[in-house]
Amino acid sequence: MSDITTVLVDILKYTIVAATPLLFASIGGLFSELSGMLNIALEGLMGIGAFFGMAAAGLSHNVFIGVLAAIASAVAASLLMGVVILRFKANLFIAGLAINLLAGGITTVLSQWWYHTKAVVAFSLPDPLNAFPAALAQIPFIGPVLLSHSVLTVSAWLWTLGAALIINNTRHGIRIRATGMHAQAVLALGYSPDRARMAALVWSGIGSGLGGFALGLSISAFVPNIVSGRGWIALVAIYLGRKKPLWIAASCLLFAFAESLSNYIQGFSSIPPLIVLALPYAVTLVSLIVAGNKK
Amino acid sequence: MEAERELRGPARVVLAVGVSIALAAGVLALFSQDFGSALAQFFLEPFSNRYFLGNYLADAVPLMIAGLGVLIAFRSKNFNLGGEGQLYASALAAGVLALRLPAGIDPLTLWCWTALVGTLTGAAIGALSGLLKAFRGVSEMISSFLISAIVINISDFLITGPFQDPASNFQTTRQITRQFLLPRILAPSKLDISIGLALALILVFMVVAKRTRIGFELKICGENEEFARYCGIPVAAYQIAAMAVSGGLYGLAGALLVIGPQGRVIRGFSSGLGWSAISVALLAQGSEAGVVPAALFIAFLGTGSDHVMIGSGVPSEIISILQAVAMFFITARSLPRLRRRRP
Amino acid sequence: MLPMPAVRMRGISKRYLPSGIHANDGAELVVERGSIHAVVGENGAGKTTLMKILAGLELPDSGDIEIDGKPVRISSPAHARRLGIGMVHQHFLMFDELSAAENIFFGLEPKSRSHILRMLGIIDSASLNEQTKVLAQAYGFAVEPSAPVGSLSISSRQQVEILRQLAAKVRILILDEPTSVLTKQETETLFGKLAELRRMGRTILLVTHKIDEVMQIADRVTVMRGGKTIGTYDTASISANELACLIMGATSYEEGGPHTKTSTTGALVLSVQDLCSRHRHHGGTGLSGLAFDIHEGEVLGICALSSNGLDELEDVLAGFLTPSAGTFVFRGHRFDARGSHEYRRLLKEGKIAYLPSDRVRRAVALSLPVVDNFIALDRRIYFPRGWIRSTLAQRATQEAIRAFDISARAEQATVELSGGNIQKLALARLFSKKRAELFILCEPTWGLDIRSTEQVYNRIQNISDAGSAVLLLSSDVDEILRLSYRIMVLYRGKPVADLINSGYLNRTLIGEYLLGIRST
Repeated sequence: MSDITTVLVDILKYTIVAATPLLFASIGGLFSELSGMLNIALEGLMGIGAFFGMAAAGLSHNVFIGVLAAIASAVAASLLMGVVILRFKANLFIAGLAINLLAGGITTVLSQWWYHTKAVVAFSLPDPLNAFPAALAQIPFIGPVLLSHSVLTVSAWLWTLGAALIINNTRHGIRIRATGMHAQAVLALGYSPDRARMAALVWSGIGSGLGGFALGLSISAFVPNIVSGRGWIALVAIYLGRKKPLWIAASCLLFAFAESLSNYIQGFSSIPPLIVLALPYAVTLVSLIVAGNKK
Repeated sequence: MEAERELRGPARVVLAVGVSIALAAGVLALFSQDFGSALAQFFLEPFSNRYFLGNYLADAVPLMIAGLGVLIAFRSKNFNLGGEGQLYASALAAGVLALRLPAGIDPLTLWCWTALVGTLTGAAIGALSGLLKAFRGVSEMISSFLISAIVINISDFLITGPFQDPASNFQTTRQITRQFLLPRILAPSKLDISIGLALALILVFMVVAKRTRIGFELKICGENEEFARYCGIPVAAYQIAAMAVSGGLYGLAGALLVIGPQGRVIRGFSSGLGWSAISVALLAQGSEAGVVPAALFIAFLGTGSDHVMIGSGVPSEIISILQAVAMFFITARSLPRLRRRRP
Repeated sequence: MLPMPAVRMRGISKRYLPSGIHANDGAELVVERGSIHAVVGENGAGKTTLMKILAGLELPDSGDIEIDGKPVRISSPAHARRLGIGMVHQHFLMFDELSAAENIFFGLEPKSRSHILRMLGIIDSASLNEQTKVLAQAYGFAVEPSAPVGSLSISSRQQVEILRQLAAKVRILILDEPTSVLTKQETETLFGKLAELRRMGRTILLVTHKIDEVMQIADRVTVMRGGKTIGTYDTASISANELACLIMGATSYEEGGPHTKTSTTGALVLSVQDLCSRHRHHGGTGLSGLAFDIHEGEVLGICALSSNGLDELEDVLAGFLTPSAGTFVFRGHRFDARGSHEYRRLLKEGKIAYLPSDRVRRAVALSLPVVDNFIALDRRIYFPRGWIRSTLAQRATQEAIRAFDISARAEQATVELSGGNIQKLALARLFSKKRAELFILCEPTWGLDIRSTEQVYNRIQNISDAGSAVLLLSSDVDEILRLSYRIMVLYRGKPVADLINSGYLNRTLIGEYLLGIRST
């Protein structure tokens, strides 16, 4: 294989890897968006999922336990947010902001308490389970790019398909969407918009928790600010994807490609790495402006 | 139907302040070996001597200025979540200017220029989000955050690259010479005369809000947009202006830190100030005068946390948790009664 | 022995806060099973509130309800549904991006037949669409199950709403102003369906103010006025004119105020030509082909019942809605539909003064003090060179409070004021300013007591005497008759009458135009 092909394979393969956390989180955020709540807490929920997921996985030396802990912790935080918003009638955005602050605080404080550091906490975990037989990775190009990924990465795509099914083909999904379209009508038909919104927040929690955990797992470590804006990028993916799961997945791939590219350029070019780090945000911002919905 | 108790502004503030203090005490009880002395460190040490008190007040100054900006944006129903980047980039712009101005310049001229450049930098970044909202319908929350993220990366690069102090082991710009830093009060603490400027600004904004047509029209825009249109007020212009003012005050806060307590721009300069300013604005409950006690409270939580960290081994990030809890209570509009509603 | 009535409501009272207006004041209603029962009355007569109480959307302050002879307390829409009561609202409660089938069977969607998919809660879309087809066919409706309802015509959307109620096995079907958005032909189709439903034993409650429709379709009719029930009549034993008199109140209206001015001699102020617009809430037609001239010193009253174009006319004239066609000529300056921002400048400069009908949403900022709301429109006066003249503002506000007898203090939060007092505040603000050349007054006395109403009438008379042109948009016929020199009536967005208010006009005659049973 030529050099260019190798580079391309690397970039594309890492695009799929980098898309995993985004996909989990933005599809989770889609539920709350559809129910009529712009969930700016994805960032914080991802951080919570990353920390508790990695901590549990490290403790039990079992990735599956980590997954459960990531989901449980992020869902707990989104339930807290739901109660504050729906029962205490708090402002959606301030509550979301508070969750983001809380996440940053709790993970750092606990990291200091448990691991006595506020920097990198590395975990030695079993090798990630490959979803495909090793032989498939030998297929040129397609093999390494598409067929050499972990179970978690493949799950992100199953999660996307599953979410599409739930959203379009179940009573639950229809009720969440209906709440976002016309909450008053849902109430008039005898159903509770608040319950639908709470459920949507739980979905957000599950997705963000998994997304955060995927981030941690990809570096086998937890660092404060591990999420570094990915929750917001996931939020923009929802808009760019026009709230359709498959288009959201495409948007996530776009942003992940930007991240992959920026990683690559950092290693090999004369452009200063810190500038390159801004690339995913810039791509996200530009896409947000292009997708804007006025005039 | 009316089984819910409406929470009024003052009640929310009291709850928020009370609960966050109680929580702070709780955390101390959990983490510290010696609860009594940790408690004393947290609550009393900031006031125990001239040095600590001065540093505590110095911490409150940027919170007052930036919090005032967030408050103005809130008043027109705009959320500026880009404070971190606005403050950082403006500080860098101001710092670089201060280092580049000829050494023979009069300090007052230097202060004015740096403050102006810092303010304008922040205002431009903030206004961008306002423009995107007005003309592209882009949520100002998301755009201000993303712009801030980009700006932070670029600033990081500039500090560690072109403007790196070659003599320093830290990732920082060169130090501004002492004569160009704002005069200190309560020496040897970090407190300088910028506290006067902060208080004066709050006074000015109070007057603008209460006495001028601009303040009046901004208030109408935030309270009822349809009514504002009925009154013939240009709503979009006020949205953009509010975001610009908010960004500008973040910028000013950054510039004053550079020519004041910090004296240089270290990487990671803003360190949460952008978010704390939002807490300040929320606690101030829409009143300019309220910004002063709110900033003093949030700075107190921060200073207290720092002291405890040094003393008891609790990380200073505890302040984020305390702020988050305060936010929850400040935004709760009703407390449901414990007994269930009639079906 | 009389059969058990399907619905019996007794002594129903409901007061809305903060305005304190009695929407229902001891209202009564008895509806026979298997009949089409019309509920009629003017705007604000309390029809819709009474129906909302029956549908569980509002709780009455007092009163008893019996359904099929059993006393009930209808606490929620879900409860009403369980009792077999469903309501089709005037503004449809639709999920635009969901399909017709999903809207109709919302919450009742059939689960998949496959065990695994069923456990996952997957809906059987094929069977959902099939059920929809069967349901539609059973009642003779034509609905495409998989079409998103946002893409359907108004009448199809209405059919979806009705089918939704039928899918929930509703026995008592309430329709609130169902024909206000339909064409003549669509109305005929709807009535065919309603007759069919009656034949199948459903009870139908029809809220309307169109008398011809009542006479055509209903078996019995209950007349409401001022929140009270006036009476219930067999449509077979009452004439359309008798019914119109009952709805409008007094059998004959004695000539009111001194509308003796006949001064079209004044110069032309505003001329509106061929004005068309879309509907305020949906894409349909709001106004079509409206034209009028208004002169100095003239009061032109434009009258319509709700959803007949008055809202759209207000929004267009106030610069909130860009018309789809039409021209304005103000004092010789011509503005076409596209250049409406130039027209808006007239409002901004105070040449045109406008009183909104929706006082809570458009006329005030509720959380601000009275004085702030009072000075908000005249910022040039109260903020000369940008600084407030607070003594002037205070004094002017207090003067207005005195002159208009507003029970409020200048520094009081406006939200604490009653609806009537907010209206007086808005009026005081308008009349205190330098006299405008044209006043557009929308429902100026809605919610005011008799004394305040009289004061307002005198003020309107005064500004007209002083040479301003007054355009009065009102659904209150008495008011229109009392104040106007000329009267126009809109029906379905079109002008159906343009009359000089001379002695022969009375509320019955205007009522016939309003209700669409007469046109010129």
